[in-house]
Amino acid sequence: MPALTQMLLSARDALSAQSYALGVTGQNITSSTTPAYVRREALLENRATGGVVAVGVRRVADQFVDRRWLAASSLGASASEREALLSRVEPLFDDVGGSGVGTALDQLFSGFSALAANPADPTTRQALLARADELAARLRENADTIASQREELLSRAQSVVSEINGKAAQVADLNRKIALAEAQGDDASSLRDQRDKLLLGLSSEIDITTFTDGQGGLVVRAAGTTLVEGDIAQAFEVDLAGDGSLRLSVAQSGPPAMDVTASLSGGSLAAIKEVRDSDLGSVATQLDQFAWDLAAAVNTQHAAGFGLDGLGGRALYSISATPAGAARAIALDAQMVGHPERLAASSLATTLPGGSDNAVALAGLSAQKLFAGNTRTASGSWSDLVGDVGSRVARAREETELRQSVQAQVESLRESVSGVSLDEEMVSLTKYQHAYDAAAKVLATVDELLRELLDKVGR
Amino acid sequence: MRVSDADRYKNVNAVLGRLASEHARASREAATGERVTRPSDDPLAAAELVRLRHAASKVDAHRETLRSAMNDLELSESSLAAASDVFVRAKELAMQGGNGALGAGERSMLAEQVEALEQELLGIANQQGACGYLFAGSKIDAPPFAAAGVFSGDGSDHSVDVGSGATSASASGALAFTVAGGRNVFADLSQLRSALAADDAAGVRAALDGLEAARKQVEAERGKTGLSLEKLTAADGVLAQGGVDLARATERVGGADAFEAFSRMNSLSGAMERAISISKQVLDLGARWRGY
Repeated sequence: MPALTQMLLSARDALSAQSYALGVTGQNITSSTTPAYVRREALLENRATGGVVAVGVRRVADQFVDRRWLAASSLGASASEREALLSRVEPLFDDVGGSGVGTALDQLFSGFSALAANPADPTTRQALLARADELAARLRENADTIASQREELLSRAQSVVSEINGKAAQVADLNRKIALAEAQGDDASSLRDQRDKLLLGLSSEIDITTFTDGQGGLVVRAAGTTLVEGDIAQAFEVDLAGDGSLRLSVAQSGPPAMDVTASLSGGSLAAIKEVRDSDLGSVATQLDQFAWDLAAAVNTQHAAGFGLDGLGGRALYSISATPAGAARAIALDAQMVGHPERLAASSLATTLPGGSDNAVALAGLSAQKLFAGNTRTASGSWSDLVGDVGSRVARAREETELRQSVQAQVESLRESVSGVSLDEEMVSLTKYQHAYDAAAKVLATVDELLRELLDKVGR
Repeated sequence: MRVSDADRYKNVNAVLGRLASEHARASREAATGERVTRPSDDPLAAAELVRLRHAASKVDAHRETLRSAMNDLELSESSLAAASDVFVRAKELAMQGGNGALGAGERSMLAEQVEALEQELLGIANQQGACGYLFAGSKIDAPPFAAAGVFSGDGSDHSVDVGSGATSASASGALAFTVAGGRNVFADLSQLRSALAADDAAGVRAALDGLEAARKQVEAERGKTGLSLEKLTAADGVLAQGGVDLARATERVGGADAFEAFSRMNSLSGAMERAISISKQVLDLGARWRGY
């Protein structure tokens, strides 16, 4: 009798354990497409008395792989963000298709040639003035677009930092809940999944590293500082430094805030900073220098000639006092606006209106090295800028491909550890189902034996 | 290695995405014949294309300038030829008028013909081209010669940039018709007309040398104009060849090999079909459990 009773209890425990395992398998199957879900394993153990018992569930994860996963995500997000941001600037310098500043530049010099051929013709003069105005407008448009994109990127950085701070606070809150649940002996797997998902999101916004402290709590470090420690989260701030570049700092109870900009190395925030301060900053400076050189060269030669009204010494373009901001400032000089007759085609007042030598000299500027510190011609200087922007976008694209490839490999590795394989789960489902059936059969057999025994004893 | 279902889907997406991207690029190259459609496709080539297009634009501008200048120069050359003819005809009239057997009435009629030639020469010297009066120097907006050949133009030369430097693109009215060229050719005609009107046979004969000198002066400027025209024609030929060379260079730098692109596109189409077929099988692997 005791043996049969023990078998009965074992069958009961087995039914319970297999049922638990079936539940875990079912959860894996239904969560197979949930992002950042980590597959579970039911932990079954033998009782000392011979039965089986479900002692809990295990999240199948590898900390080392997870760290690589977050790092790869951070670098991948940084590269793809930089490519996306730079791709928005590339069309401004797309002279390959024959539109843009380069074409306007060609038309200006063609206009000077036409003026040399027919210096007194009002139509030729009108067309040239329109072309000069068009080139200035294109330069201003490009410079304005770059400037507004830089402003947008500051707003975007502030928005990303706000997201980071929100996620950091949620991670800290989850840390507290996980610690509480585990202290009470509850399963915290779902909370850990939520935290992993938040960490993945954080890693795409800023470079993070995670580790477990001495008390088993998760510590998240970002941009060289501790962002989350246990249930306490720091908050980042972003503003402009004295030189106009983005500055990332950690908000503290009292000033000054701790500047961590130099440690920023990954995620979309690093890409935003690099594009805003490095890429667009450099492109804007080159564009300013180009506009400055253009205005200086054209104005000097134009001032050496005389308009049809017999007056000389006029500049064609108005420009800023220094190269800084020149591309946004360049415009037709006020005294030239609406006055094509003032275009200085002749180098002598006495050879008006047919003198064309100054127009020839203006057309000849295109072949002279008057740009980039007298080292490049006008088209050479512009082509350098086009090539530079193209190189930046191309390098960003290559970087994205490389990072995404690495990210895919690491994700594949993580999936091989923590991902759900429906094949495996279906096998587990079958296994636990059969085990459940077998336990039920044991129960039925013991029941039959006991019934038979009781029948015989009762006669 | 374990393969999760999520990983399987990701791989399928990655493969199909990459093939679709390559196929789109090959299709674009095959359809447009252009390999570089934005700076990042090939930054070095894009920069070179900008320089080549600028050079091609300069060639076009120079040729446009040349065409305009050559039209006026041809007109100048033919005008000077007509002016030379005026003096040939004047000489003929002078030879007739120098004949001692001629009466005063006949010389008077010849004087009227010379006066007509003077008017013709004045018309020629005030000929207009596309850019204004051809023989006015820089004063192209007003007739340079008044009655009796009073010159209000100047001797400045109209030069144009033909790419290799500035070249003269005008005929000088000052050198052709005024004392700046040696003699006032209008005065030579006037002298003949006066001698004829005065029935002065000796004076008419004396005018002959002046008329020949005037014709030579006009012919000398005509010769220089022809030379300028030849220079411009040669420059135009050089520029035309330069334009062709630049177009070839542009094609070489930025053009796509259409056959290669078409072949690649076909190959990628096949690869995509195979990938889709295999992807379908991979994604259908789980279907075997549905009937379980």
